[in-house]
Amino acid sequence: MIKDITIGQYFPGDSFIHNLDPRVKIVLAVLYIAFLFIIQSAAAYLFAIAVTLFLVCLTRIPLKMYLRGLKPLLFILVFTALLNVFYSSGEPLVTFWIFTITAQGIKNAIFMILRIFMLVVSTSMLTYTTSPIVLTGGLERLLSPLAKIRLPVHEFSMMMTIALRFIPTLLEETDKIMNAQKARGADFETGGLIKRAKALAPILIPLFISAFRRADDLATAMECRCYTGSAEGRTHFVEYSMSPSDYVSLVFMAVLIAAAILLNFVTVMGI
Amino acid sequence: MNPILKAENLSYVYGAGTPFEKTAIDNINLEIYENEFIGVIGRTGSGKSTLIQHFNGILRPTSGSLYYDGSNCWAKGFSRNMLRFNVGLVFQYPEYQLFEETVEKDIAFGPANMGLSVEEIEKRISDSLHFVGLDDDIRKSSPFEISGGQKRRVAIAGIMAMNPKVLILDEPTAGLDPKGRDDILQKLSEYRREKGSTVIIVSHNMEDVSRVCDKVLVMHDAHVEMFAPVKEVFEHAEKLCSMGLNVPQITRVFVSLKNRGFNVPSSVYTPEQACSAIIDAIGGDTE
Repeated sequence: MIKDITIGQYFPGDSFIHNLDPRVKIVLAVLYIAFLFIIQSAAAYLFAIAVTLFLVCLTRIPLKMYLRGLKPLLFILVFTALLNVFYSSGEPLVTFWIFTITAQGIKNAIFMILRIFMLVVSTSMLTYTTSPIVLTGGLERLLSPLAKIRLPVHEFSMMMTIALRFIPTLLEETDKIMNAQKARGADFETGGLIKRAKALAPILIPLFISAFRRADDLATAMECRCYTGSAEGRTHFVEYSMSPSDYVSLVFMAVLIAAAILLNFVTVMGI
Repeated sequence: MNPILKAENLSYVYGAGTPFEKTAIDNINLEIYENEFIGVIGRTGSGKSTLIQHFNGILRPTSGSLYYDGSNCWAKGFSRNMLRFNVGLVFQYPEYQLFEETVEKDIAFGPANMGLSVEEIEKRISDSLHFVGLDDDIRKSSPFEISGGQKRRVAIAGIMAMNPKVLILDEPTAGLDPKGRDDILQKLSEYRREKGSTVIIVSHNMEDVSRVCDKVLVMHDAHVEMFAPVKEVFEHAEKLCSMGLNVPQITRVFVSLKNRGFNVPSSVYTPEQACSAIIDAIGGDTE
């Protein structure tokens, strides 16, 4: 239940993709999303699916894990697919009552599902192969030029790091508190809306209190170590540097985008 | 006599099918009887907490079964809430789960969920406050304004108020000062004597275990390594040490005395036993 949430989940590993520079990985993820929006033709879609599956293999994380991230989107997927099937213009294939199904509609629906599937897989790939701390570190470095125009980039990334760091802690805490109240016979699953909302108080109150306590402790601990925010002269523990595989990946991405544009002009079986 | 709790080939696997898969308890078989006082010891990660969370049906075993008073806890039609009211579980640092405006309301949470009458709940509150050694004037205070030791007692009272047949406490003395620790242990012994209930405590403190328990359950690497009366368990001092556990300080003293050639038993675990053992040893020498 609560443990099924996969946001920000990281699977430690030692694959080619795991070892890329986080800055490069973030840029690549953004470019890959652009790539997925460039593809239009069936040929380009086939190509994109092949590339996506190839990348999944490269991460050495089972495809099953990626599919798990799709589960909460199932409703949206089915809904958009149905909308596409019934509300696309073109030659009608089947007509009954007020519904008309067109070949165009079916095509749109399939493409839409494939695109959402690939979007989820590629963004999950970023978080699955990069630990949250490294991810925000990379993001901070990428955004650091913005500090010149006085945007609090460092503070922003510190907040992100802390938030990400505490997601699992708070989930674990919620689990613990829920179990403790269950042990006293609390019931979270039955009853009407108001009864269920009331049943949440025994969880939310201890959770808020502990969150504030943790925040307080963390602030004290940071001050004890002389943390002053992004003051001059603050250095990083880990410096990132680009390796040959990072350059190779960037070139590979450029080729992908070029190929996608070209493949959009190719027609397979009239699609 | 029938066991009140019985585990049969009980196993539990965390995160099955993920890279983090871990067998927390593996093929556990044991029987717990009424009015026993059991200490559960074992290193962090040996499966103690997982095991006790099966006893009140919070965790569902991956395989194997658990019987409460003869009936299978995961059979169809078995009321898990009934199980939780009869097997009270006090989690580690229970003071962090207090949520009500007043102490009495918080203690009333469990009994109210049982559907008891107002008068009965009233009675349960004063009884359990008495059992944990708190005065009646604390009833109207906010559970967030009292001291840490008092919070712990209120949380324990919240479980005792359900009158469980089996009371399980996960490290009830963690983070308390020595006096607070002795106090809680003494209250638990009193509770067990007066109610005739079974009490199970998980502890890292061998002194605590040797002082109040009559049986010790040693967990090691997801298995039950030993489950025997205190005396028998602490006789295996070396085995316990090899598992990264400890024996009471007094036992360690007697083990080294014996190793140096003194004629003393190595299974001494309370100061009283130590006294008579030393008197025996000296008396034997002078004659």
